[in-house]
Amino acid sequence: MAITENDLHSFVDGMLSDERTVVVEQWLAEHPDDAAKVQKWFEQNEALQHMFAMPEEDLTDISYENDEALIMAMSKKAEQAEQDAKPKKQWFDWRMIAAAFPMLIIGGITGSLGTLQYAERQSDMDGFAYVQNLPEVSRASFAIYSGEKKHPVEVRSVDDKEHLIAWLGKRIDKKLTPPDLTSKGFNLFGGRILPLEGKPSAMLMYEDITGERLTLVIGQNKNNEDTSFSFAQKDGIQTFYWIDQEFGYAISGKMSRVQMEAIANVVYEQL
Amino acid sequence: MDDFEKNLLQLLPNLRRYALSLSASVGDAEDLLHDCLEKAFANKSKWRGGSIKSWAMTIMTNQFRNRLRKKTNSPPTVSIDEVSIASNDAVSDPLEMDKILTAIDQLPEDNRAVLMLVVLENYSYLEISKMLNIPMGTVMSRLSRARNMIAEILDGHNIVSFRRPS
Repeated sequence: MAITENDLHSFVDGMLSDERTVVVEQWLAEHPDDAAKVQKWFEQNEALQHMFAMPEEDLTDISYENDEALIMAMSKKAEQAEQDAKPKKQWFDWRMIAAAFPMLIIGGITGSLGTLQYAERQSDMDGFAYVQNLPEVSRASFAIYSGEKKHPVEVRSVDDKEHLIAWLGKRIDKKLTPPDLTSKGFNLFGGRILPLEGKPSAMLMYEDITGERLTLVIGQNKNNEDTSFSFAQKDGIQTFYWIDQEFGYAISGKMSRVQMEAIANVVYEQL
Repeated sequence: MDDFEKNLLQLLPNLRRYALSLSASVGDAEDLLHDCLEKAFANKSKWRGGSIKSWAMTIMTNQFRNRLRKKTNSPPTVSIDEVSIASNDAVSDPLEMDKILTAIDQLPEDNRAVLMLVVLENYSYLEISKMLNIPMGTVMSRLSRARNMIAEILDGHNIVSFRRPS
């Protein structure tokens, strides 16, 4: 039976059964090139294991006495961040509102004038594209929102998933069924509305158990033409996008291209 | 200290070693470790009581990849002084150590992470496949590329010695 390179790696890493180990040893005895290769890999393993052996306190200048303090400091920092992320209670002070009342009247008048001017400008702005293309919106929204601690999404899935789906679906005029990415380790976290070429698009955010996030943007344009999968990479963010009939889809994340493509395939199959 | 914190404290030497094996300097490794711990605590509620080691190692791998992508394409630098602190001087020949460090610093980050998870942390290929959410074939090809690249470099190609004149 032929021995594959995977067998050789498994042999070096001690991951073969006893029977298979014997077979590989026989193979190596008859194949000096493979034997030399395996010998080098053994030496690499040994060197790396020596170089990165678990440090012992007395052999290094690094102090490990503070490990407990480090863990507690990180824990406290996370607690503080969580506290900061909680919405503050709004306290209404009627005296402040009374004091502001004259200003509200003045503001209302000037605001109305402003609205008239805005309405005139609005006709000129119809069709104005906030951002011209799908992958750029997807990438930018991932960059802006995926690291956001307080408000990464407008509606969290855990709070009201049905409302989230109905709301986003209504805004993009599509019966929306968020793709199930649990097979890839990601769960639906929430969503928000984004502007895309002057129209609302839906952004769904997913998260895995390590907190790694990815976003899926779904935008609508009746003039779309179908495209195949395309890939873009910028600032370390990978984006897969495609257009299927009148809807465009873009997935952005910081995973490898292989992982992103696998996820994009799962999304494509479900939409 | 709760179970989560105790588990992480116990795991800290492993996490520190993995960070060192991924980084070009002790400073980078400590930064990576801190990023990893910060992310772990921020996602504490998502830990479901399973293997915290795999979970934390996955976080570190992701942080490592994200940090590298943020960096400019400056060439890797290795401080021998720093490395001698990081290692426990079991490899006695500094030139040999220098070559190996130079070689691993030239590995693509994904290949380096798989190699270290296999060689240092003794994860099976299947475990790594699940941790990094990549097919087994990808684990094997990354491992293979890492080993063959190191072998090529150690055989004399592309060696740039960072050893300082004494």
